[in-house]
Amino acid sequence: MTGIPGRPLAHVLGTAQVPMRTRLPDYTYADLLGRVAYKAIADAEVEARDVDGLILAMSPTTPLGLDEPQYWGIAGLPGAHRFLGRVHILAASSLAAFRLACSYVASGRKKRVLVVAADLADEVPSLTGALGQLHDPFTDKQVVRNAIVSAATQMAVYMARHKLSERIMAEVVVKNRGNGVLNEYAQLRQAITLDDVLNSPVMTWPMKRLDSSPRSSGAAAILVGDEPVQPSRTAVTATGFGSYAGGRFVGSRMVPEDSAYFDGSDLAEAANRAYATAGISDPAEQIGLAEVYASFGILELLSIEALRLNNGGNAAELIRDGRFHRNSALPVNPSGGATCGSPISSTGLIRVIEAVTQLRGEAGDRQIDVKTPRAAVSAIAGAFQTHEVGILEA
Amino acid sequence: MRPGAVIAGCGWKLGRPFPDRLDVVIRQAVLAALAESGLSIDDIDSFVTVAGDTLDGISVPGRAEVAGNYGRRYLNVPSSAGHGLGAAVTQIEAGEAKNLILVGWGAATKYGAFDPRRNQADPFYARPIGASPRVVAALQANEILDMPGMEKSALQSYADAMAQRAWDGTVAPEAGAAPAWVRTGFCDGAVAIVLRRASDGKPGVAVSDFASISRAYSPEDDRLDTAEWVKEALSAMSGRGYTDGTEFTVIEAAAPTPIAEARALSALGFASDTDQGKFNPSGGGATAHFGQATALRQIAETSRRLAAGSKSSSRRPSKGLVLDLTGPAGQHTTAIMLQAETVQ
Repeated sequence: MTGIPGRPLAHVLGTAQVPMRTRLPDYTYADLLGRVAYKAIADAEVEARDVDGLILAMSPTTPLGLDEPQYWGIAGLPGAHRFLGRVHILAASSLAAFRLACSYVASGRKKRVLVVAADLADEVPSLTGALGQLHDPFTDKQVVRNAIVSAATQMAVYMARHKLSERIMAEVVVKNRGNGVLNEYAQLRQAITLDDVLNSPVMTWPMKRLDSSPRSSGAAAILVGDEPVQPSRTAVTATGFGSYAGGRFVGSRMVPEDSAYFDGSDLAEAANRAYATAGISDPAEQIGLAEVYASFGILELLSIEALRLNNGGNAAELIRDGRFHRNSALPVNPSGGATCGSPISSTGLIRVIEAVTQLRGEAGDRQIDVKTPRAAVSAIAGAFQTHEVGILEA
Repeated sequence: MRPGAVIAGCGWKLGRPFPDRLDVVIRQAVLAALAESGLSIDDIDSFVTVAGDTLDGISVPGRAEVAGNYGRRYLNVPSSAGHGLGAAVTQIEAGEAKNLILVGWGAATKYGAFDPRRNQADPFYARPIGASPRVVAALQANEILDMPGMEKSALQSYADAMAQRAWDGTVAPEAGAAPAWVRTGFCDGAVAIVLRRASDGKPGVAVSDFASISRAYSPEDDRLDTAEWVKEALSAMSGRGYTDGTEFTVIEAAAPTPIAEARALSALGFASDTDQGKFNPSGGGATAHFGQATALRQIAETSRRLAAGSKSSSRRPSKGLVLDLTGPAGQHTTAIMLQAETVQ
């Protein structure tokens, strides 16, 4: 359980992101960090000198091509002289960093903490190759498995368990790509059809290219604080977090006693911890929108179920029937999600930013009708191993 | 008033290199810390690791599980031991964690033969500029040597004495072309610290305060003076001004090189010819350096000394100070104040 029940952890004061692209050739890594950092404090209408803590989320450094960005990337950023550390938990890095920033505020040690993250995915010739270099410390060998193979395995099992066709499995990506059309920050802004997905190249059966996120560069920043600073703006507060570190070996989570790899039960544990702190007992009723990390469509299906947003029924068929779409009672990934752009270090912050923007009613063309002013955000690290869930309320 | 955090147990191991695999040693450190704390793994609700990018070859989820974390909250803060401790203490103070294991490691012996960290970067172009940590350390040494009290002979004595302490006289200082006072004594290390909420009345060593200050790779003021960074960190502790060090019974520092470390300690009155064992009884971090997690050993050793002192005297609580200077020049500086809770 995270936090003290009933007590807000921190207020979101300002947010910023840049449009995600395959390449951002006009920016260096440091440029990107600086751009979003100063945009975030401008959004909050505070001065750089008012920031008394800085956290960098950066993981992994392989795509960046340079090591240890905490020594050079933070130069000149607000709060850099009060640097609180770099958080590195793969794609969960920035949501975990956001949680840590809220902890610093909730503990009373800091008043305003800035979290920044940036990714330049064009520094290595093959991001897939770089990320595929998974390492087993016990056999001391590279593991012949990467994120695509891992997610394809989950997808195949999900289809078999629920007796679903590839066409139904494609519904989630079609929904998200439609949402991405309206998002000026999305990297992929073209709507696609079920046939487009089914006819795209198979990467590892049943995973097709359009089931997957693109290779993305991007950046995001969020400033949190102990009290709201803009009286005329809708206040958004972080009210709960849950974290759950699952097992290293995928095989150990494919057995009857522990099927977390296929049913998302580890993520469900993280969600339960967040719900307990935020006082949520019926998430399908008490949550008005969700932004879940899903670099592959299957991850969104498992996340919806793990977060108990589905009220029974499998998420794939519910999406086919219109649930979780942008005009539904509980939209999931109204931003388009990670399948419209997935800078690894920043993706958790981007989930939070979309939730905050929607809760404030500031999403412009992509604004949804938020029926319950409470959002769930989630992130997953590694091969469905480490999980983070956060709850935000307006 | 926020509930404080208390160090309940520690375990660590150093090697040049480790005779066992890194994951085995990490588990040994965690089990030793748990045994000293009187807690079991079932009592632990959170883990924080200080596990760097290039020092272990273990994937991030692997790092969590190697440390014994399955099903618990997790953070990996690889940038420094001080940052890791800050994340751990803050979670306890915020009410998020009750019993937490902070564990860090690094297999840095290999850096003694070849240090691959050539990617120190120019922040404006984000491209390597060919400056290795050794080059940065040399630039820093050049600046520090011009400062009062930083004579080469005294620094040589300091480096030799620290190496003897760190390795209990059993490991000779490394030979090399560079003077010992500008060399990093790389080794393998793993340290685990069990922290718990202070409000349950059990004895322990309180983390009474801490503060981090930082400079980026290229400090805006062009200064690489670790003493100035230490003074700034001490002043940043809650409601405190700069201290001259007299209130502490033990002061430990971990910096990348002996000269950076000695200069850091000079901010607190240290002079190598008058050292009576108050400064760096562990031997410091420069001569037993295993990457960003190095200062966890200084935290652990200081905690254990304070705990032992509190058992021997019921009259006067002992205070300790740990200075963590991480980075090629030690530019991520954290000051950590520890205080023994007296056993009545």
